[in-house]
Amino acid sequence: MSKLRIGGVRLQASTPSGVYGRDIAFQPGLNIIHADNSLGKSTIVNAILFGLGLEGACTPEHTPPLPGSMTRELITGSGPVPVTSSVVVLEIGNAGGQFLTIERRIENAKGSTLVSTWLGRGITSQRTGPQRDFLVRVPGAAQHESGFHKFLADFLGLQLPLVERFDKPPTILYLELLVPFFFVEQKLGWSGIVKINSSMGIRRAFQHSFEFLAGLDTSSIRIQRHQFSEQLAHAVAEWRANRESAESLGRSVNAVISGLPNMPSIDELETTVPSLVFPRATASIPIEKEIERLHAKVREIRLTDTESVGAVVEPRRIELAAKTDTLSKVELESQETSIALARDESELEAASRRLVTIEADLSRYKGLLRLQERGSAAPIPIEIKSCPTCSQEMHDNLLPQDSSFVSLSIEQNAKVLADQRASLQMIRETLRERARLRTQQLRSIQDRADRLRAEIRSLKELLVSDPRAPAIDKLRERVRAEEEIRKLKSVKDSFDTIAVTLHEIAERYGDIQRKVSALPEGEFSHDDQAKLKSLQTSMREQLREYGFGSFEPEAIEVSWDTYRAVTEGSDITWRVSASDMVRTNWAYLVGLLELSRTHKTNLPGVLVLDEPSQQNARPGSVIALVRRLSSVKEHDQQVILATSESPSTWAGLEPGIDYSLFELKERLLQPITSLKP
Amino acid sequence: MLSSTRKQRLNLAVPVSFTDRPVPIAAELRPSWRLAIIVLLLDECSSGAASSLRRLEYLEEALGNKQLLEAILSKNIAQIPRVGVDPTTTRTIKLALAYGLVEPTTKPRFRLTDRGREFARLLKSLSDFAGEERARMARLGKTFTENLVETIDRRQVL
Repeated sequence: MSKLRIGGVRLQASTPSGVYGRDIAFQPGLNIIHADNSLGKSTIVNAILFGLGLEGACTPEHTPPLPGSMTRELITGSGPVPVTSSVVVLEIGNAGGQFLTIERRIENAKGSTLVSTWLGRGITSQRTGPQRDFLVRVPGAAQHESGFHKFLADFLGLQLPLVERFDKPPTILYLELLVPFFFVEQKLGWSGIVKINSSMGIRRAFQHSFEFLAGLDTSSIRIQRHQFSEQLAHAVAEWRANRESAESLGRSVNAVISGLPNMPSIDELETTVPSLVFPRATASIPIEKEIERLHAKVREIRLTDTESVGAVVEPRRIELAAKTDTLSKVELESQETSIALARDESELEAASRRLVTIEADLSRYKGLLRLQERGSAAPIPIEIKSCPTCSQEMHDNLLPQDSSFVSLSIEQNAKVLADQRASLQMIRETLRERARLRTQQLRSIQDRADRLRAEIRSLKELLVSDPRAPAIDKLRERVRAEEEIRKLKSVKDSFDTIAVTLHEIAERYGDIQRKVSALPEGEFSHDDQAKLKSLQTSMREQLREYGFGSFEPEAIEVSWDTYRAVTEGSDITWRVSASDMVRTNWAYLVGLLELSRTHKTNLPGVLVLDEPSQQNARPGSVIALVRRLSSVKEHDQQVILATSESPSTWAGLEPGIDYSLFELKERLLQPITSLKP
Repeated sequence: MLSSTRKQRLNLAVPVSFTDRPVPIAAELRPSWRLAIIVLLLDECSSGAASSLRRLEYLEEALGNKQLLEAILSKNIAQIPRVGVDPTTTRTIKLALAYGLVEPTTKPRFRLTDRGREFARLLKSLSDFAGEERARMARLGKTFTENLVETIDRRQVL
């Protein structure tokens, strides 16, 4: 079912001597409007465009694409009369079988920005439904609720995509850009194949329009790829932020995180559960174990009664000796870690310095490659392989030439440098991570040493105090341990919450990655490829029928890059004769019309061609075109073809070819009558 | 086991030959890079687009040596160290003469030819060519004169 059907068009011009006009009721299938030059064929065709508010497809100006008889002065049998006002009424149908009547006026020789609409067939039958007014050709009319083109797109069931603009935010694909794919006006339309109005500031306007009309998946694949890559980047950013929070939590108690990958990875998370650990020289202690140890300590202190200092002197002395011994070991550990950290930092600095050197060298090589791209513009060869004076072979370096030293080519050298840079960046990250962990470890050791020193001080104070006083050092220790437990538990709870979030992010990241790998490998789906091939096959077949002679029609291709007709990878414009250019234009547009029969597309299923027999295309070619188009009715499509080709041309058509002929033998605008087929 | 393998290798009847593989080198050892730098130095940092070889050696060194650059910019002659003779600069100048980028003048100087100026224009039109070096050349300007070079060299000799 076609998406757009032109039911009819009414043109009316009011003059002091009465209303002049004409109604044309188009039929499904092929409609041929025949008239001699200057009788008003183009007026009929352009009135369709004007009624749809789509004249912007041909011109950025606000002048209606209609002749003076509709805008200024009408030539009647009794001479010229001024036109006071005029109106174009258009009747269109959609895929759901609904009809819409559109009325647009011409005031002061300018197209009105107001469009009135009614549901129902207002020309061939009675209008029904209430009047609804919209604006057209004003900024925002494509997207705003009161915009006619927004309404028209909805009526035709077109879900227009967002497209990029030059220096402006993305916008909806304008309907005007789709027009040249199904409407060719006489004056400019035949000077190229699908002439897009480039003044609309949309990037890759032709490609976007083609992709939308042909219903190619490539744009949605591209959009999906872009969305997925944004989602992945977002997930990574979230991951890093949460990781940073977890690390900062760890730092608050001098613990480090173990088993947390740098990038979201559900597999790694499920193999190793991330946890907070206290780094020690021999093995790290998980936070849970540390909490358990502190609990045991508290329990142990609780079980003992508070005795007098005199009663605990001996065991405290032993404890003091043990703690002093532990402190010296911890201080040694601290020293060793400090040395290791200094070594790590110096390695990190060396790697960073080396990276700076490589980046500078790589930048120089990139400069040379840029110069190489300029080719013959440079007065010297970029790779010097022979002596400019004696033409003897020379190595491309400034070292003594007698050595057998051979340097890589500039391109290879740049590649080696790029590889080196990538490896060094990885090494630098590893070193940075190692230094970071070592700093944490050192902080943790120093914290432990501080605690030991405090305990030793407390023991020493106890041992020199009054032997009759109660020994309260254990009480102090218990309070400290309980405080530590509270702190560690709070950190662990917060860490567990972050771990759950990290798990969710990793799962989401994995899902997106799976979706990315499920996308087709290339830019085009199988269906897209079939569509492009189908259009190409149809074009070649048609060009043979139309008598294309510039080269073998088999050499015509539809570019998978630009979607335009190309030969040997280049645009055909300068490679074909003017008449073959017109034939290629027919083949391209009819090919698209035919494509919508076999594939799911957004093409309107309608084709309007004004004077296709340009550049003296042979009558035989035009007959072949009409023959090709005669099957449109079977496929529920519609073609409107306006031509001044003499009736004798049609005599060459086989009988039985189905078309509706509108013969215009007098000027189009007459005291109101109906033109019947 | 290891020694027997080694023995087998040593007893190979096939003669072993070694071929030099191409190796990466610093861009500063590429003739085209140095020719471009010399042309830009003559165009940007030399009065009348002419300079002595010795001055070019100082300028080339200053592009890669931040300390020397700052010392030259401070115009404190006592702080400017003497730069050693660089044979690669001599080779570059010989190539520049052969390609017609520079020509000798009556004084022992090398001056950009029209071809050399054309090359300088092309290089300056490439926005991403030698960005770092060109920024340093812009800072240097034409302030580092032949007289300064002679003074520094003489001071070191004395």
